[in-house]
Amino acid sequence: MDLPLFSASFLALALTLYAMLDGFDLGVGILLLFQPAAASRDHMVDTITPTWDGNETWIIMAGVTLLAAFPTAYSILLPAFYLPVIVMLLALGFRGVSFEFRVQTTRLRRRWDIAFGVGSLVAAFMQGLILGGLMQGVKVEDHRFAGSVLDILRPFPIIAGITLVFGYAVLGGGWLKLKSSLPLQPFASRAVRLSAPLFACLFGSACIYAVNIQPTIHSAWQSHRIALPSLLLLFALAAATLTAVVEKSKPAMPFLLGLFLFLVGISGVALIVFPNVVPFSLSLWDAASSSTSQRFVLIGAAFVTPVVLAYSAFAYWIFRGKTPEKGWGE
Amino acid sequence: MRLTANKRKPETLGGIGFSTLRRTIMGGSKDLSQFAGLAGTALLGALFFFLIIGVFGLQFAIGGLLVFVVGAVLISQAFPAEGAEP
Amino acid sequence: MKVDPSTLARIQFAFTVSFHIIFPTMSIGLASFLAVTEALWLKTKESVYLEIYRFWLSIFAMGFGIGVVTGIVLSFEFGLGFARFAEMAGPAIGPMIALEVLTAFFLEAGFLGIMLFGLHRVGPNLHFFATCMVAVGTLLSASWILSANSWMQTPAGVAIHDGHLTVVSWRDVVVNPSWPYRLPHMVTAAYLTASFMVAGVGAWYLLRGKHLHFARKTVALGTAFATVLIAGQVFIGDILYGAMVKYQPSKMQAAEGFWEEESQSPAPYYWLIIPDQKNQRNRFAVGTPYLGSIWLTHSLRGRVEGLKNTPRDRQPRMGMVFYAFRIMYGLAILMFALGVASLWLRLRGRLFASRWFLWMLVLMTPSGIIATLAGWYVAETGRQPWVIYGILRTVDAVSPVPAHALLSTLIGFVCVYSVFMSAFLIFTLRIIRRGPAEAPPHAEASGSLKNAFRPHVLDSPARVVSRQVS
Repeated sequence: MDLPLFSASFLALALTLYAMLDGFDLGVGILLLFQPAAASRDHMVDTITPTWDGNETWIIMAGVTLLAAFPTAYSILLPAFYLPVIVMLLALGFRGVSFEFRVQTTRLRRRWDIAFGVGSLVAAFMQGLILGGLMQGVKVEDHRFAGSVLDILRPFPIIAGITLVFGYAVLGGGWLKLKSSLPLQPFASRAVRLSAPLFACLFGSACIYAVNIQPTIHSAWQSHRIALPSLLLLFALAAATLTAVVEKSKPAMPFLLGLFLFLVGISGVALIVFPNVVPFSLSLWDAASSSTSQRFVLIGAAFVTPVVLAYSAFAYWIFRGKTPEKGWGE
Repeated sequence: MRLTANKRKPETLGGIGFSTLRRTIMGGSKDLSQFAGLAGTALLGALFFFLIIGVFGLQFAIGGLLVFVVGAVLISQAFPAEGAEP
Repeated sequence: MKVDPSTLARIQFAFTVSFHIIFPTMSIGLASFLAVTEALWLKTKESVYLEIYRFWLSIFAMGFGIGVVTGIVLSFEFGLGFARFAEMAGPAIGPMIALEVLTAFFLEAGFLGIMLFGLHRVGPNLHFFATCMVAVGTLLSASWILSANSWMQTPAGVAIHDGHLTVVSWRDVVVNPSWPYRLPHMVTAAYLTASFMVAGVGAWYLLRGKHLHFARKTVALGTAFATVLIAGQVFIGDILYGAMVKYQPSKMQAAEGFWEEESQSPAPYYWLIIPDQKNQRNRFAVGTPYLGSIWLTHSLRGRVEGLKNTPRDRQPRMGMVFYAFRIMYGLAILMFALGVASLWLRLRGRLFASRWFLWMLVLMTPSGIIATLAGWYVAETGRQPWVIYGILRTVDAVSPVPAHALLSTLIGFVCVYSVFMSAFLIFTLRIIRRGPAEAPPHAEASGSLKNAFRPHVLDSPARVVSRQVS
């Protein structure tokens, strides 16, 4: 039984769930910055308030799985992305506390909304920056990080950052289409109609750019000469469909299409990065901890994850349907 | 925890014992009884503290802890302080 | 000015973890308190319990949120500041923290939404279940993280080859020698924290003559819990002390202020010292005669082991450990005294009338937090110079991150966390000033946690709550 492979799959699952679930939370936060009406902002936050905490927890799951199953990778990647990780954590911090603090005041609520929005935006950008940094490759010597903390401030990671911001905006817009009441629908549609094409173009450009700066990616495209272009095509088609149907489709469709976009994108990234856990020099087997640690995590995960998914789904079900306009008090 | 106590009659347990105790504590000359009460409480409290942190050994620590906790629970039940006026 | 990266990494971790621990300590205590309060409400239907629940729920929610976001920081900070430690200890503590996330964090997060916002969506019993699940989540979380930290203090169950750790027995890793003592100590500390917070606020209202029913109930509940808990806590504390003398003698030697291999007989209990680590002596020391032998050796003339019993390159800094311990222990003595006082006042029927006592309660409102922080400083500074006791030194554990990066992020943390703390304090004080009945449902503020409770939904005497927001 290839334990590191299972652990890597679990890690990938955690990251994917995080990107999809907190993705729309962060997306709603980003869109908050473009919503001038205070009552509408309240409504937007309401749509994500009951479930955001569980969504965010998946990033902790990912980080801690990395620590437990691939400690060498953890000890390389975190110093490598020291600055964006910390900025992201502070941004997520502002986003998180803003949920609780904004309702304590009416006078200053707009300021907390800005903190909420900026926190979401910065967190999204940082996550994209890190993804870009991973794709451009991490400098490793002797199982230790050997680059500079400023390696991340290069054009490609920055483009990746901007791309992810738009990507989360698409998810956020889709979620709003699904959960928000009638008055907010045009805003949500506009958000999707503007972000989806931009997301797609930026994503395409990033792909091209990536091929040029990292030889491993170049060879990945050559070895997956059917899979990767197909995924890219699928991505483009989905984005086009999304832009076209957002106004008149069923409420869930824009959100589902957005999730689909992310699944496609993540699959592509996974195909390129595999089998490395530190791109592109350390494979997951090289970085893995001993089998006793892998086994502990996997057995725990095997038993507990289904339970977690079950009661998380239950929580979503409790708050199903359109979010009430007056919020959760009525 | 009993929440609707009647100050006059702590009926829960050992009726005679507690009412006597109460009358002794609350009756009598105010200053002397207050001082005696305070000093006695302080001494008793210190004794329990020393007992519980094991100065006299583990058995006494466990015993002291049990007596203290049970006593505290009983006192809280018998003298719920709910009806007292500020 | 060249500052050592390892010092900066330590300061940064110390700052972020100290800030963080304040909030889970409150959350663990308040979550269980809320469960008890809700149970009392469901059982007795008295509206005062609902008032208490709503009031403390809003403070709980804020604290919980800050706890979550500052906690996420820590799960990454192992790697950010102490990559060498993460690489080495990952196989042991990583899986434990992974299980913490799986069994505790998701549980809390999953049910918190229902607890805060779902009352009229699920009905009182399922809602109570949600409150209980959040409380259970906090306890599970404490259990796992204490296991991980205790493993750092008393590592067990691992084999070391070539700088790499392999776990040979999970039972020994999780149930390591100090965990069975440290877990009850921490949980009790959290419960004490909540008890004194609750009692303190109630006492404040009594002194002001406001919200009397609410105040009497919370003072009664708070002091009753606190009295029982502090007795348990000093009991557990002494047992833990004995265990740590066995497993981490250097820590307990540093904690008491004695340098010589064997102190004088009888030994005093020091309250104030000016330690001189370089010359291995105290420049000044003040203590209570005989009390050191009595408390530390359980005899009248016993000698106490001093820090010189530990080789110099393995000594923690006495000043930090000593004073942290004194603060924690001093507050424990105060708490015990207040507990005894509360019993005495109950006997006299003056629990709510004694103004000096109520003032003491008000002053002791944050005592649990301060004592818990102090205790953690004993634990962590006393473990130095080790990060994994006896296995890895802190200086060898840091990340290859330059000092300027560490310094800039440290400044970032201080600034951002200051905002969090200020907002938390301002809003909490505002909630306290408004008082329980006013825990206002912001009509415009959707998603408001206080909106979660509307009395008429719960079937209790309808109380029209003001929808005005100041």
